[in-house]
Amino acid sequence: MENNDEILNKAVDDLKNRTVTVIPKDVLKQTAFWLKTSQNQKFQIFRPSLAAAAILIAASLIIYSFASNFYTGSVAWANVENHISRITFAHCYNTRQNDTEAWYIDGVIYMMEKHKIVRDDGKTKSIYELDGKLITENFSDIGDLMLSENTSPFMLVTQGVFEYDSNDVANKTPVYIGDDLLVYKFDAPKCMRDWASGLIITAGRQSKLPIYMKIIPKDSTRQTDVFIFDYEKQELPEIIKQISNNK
Amino acid sequence: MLINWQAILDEHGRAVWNTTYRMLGNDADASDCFQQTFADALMFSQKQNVKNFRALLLKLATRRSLDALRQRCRKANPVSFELIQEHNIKAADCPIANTENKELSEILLNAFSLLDSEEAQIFCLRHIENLSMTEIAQAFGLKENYVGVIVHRAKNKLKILLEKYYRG
Repeated sequence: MENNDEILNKAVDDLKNRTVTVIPKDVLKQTAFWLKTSQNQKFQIFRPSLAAAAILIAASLIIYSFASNFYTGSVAWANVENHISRITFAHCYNTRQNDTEAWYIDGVIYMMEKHKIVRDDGKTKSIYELDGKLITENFSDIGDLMLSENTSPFMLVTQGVFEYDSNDVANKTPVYIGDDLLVYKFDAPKCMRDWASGLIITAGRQSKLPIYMKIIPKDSTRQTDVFIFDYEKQELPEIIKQISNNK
Repeated sequence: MLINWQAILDEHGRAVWNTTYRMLGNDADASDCFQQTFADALMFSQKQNVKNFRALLLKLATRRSLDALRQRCRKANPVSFELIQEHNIKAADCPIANTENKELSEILLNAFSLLDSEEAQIFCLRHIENLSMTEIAQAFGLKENYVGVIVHRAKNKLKILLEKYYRG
């Protein structure tokens, strides 16, 4: 009988020489995609710009299939989300930065920033120059960030992007109930905690739709970002129409 | 600093895949561990500077694969090396014999699942992945001497387990 050292050495060699297949292409592709988007996401969400509002619109608009899981109290945040899920058009802009705006049109987010336009349909993110020339196309930042099939869009945005606990968000009740308005207050998402102390979202009492979102900065000398949402279909900038029609 | 993950994937993806596939033996489990390894590496890199991506990825891949292996083996045999020693379990009853495939590598993998997690990882990195003691010490934040002790300890335990299999 061989001695124990020899047996162990043989076993180690046997394991080292095991036949190994090539990496399946889809695994490599998915991993590359996941790494890229996860890394990009970090940079995006740290930016106190319209992206925050666009993510919120996206979050709110894509969760309709999960509405049934929500707490059904008449004025819980879940109820607001439920209403948002029914709309097909929303427009959002930051009162502090008049060169950035976002639209949600039939499942697609358009963001117009100072030097570029971003179109994100949940699968593909396309970036255009302001004259409509396509610069680059990549995987979506909002719709497909996580590989797990069990990750719902709601979890993606509340836990994945804003890192909230989903039940906390769905059960959130207003801090103020006026004749016309409901006001919800959220702690700052982890990704904003360095510079923001909280989010305040004001929704219509009848429509249950968000009207304003205010990001409260920790530094009182810093200007507050207020995002305004409206839902009336309106004339879009020519370039957005052009991009929308070309797709 | 922005890390070029595509370049890292191109450079080390094959080595990570070899580690996971070698241990787990099928595409599905190896794919899961492969992706988890890169997810772990991304999270790690967001908290700490990575000096040696190869060592980090192989460490993470080995850990993930051993965890999966342990989970697979524990379902059938919820025992540890210490328990086998303590009760002097005989070859026929020893969990490392409970493998359909009696190839040496399969027996060794079953034996890994009975070791302490860190011992098994360090042994694999040293003897299967051929990392240097210095690389392993850096990856685990241990002193080189101590890594040597762990490798030695793991080797002795593996020899005992293999002896049990062959000699009863």
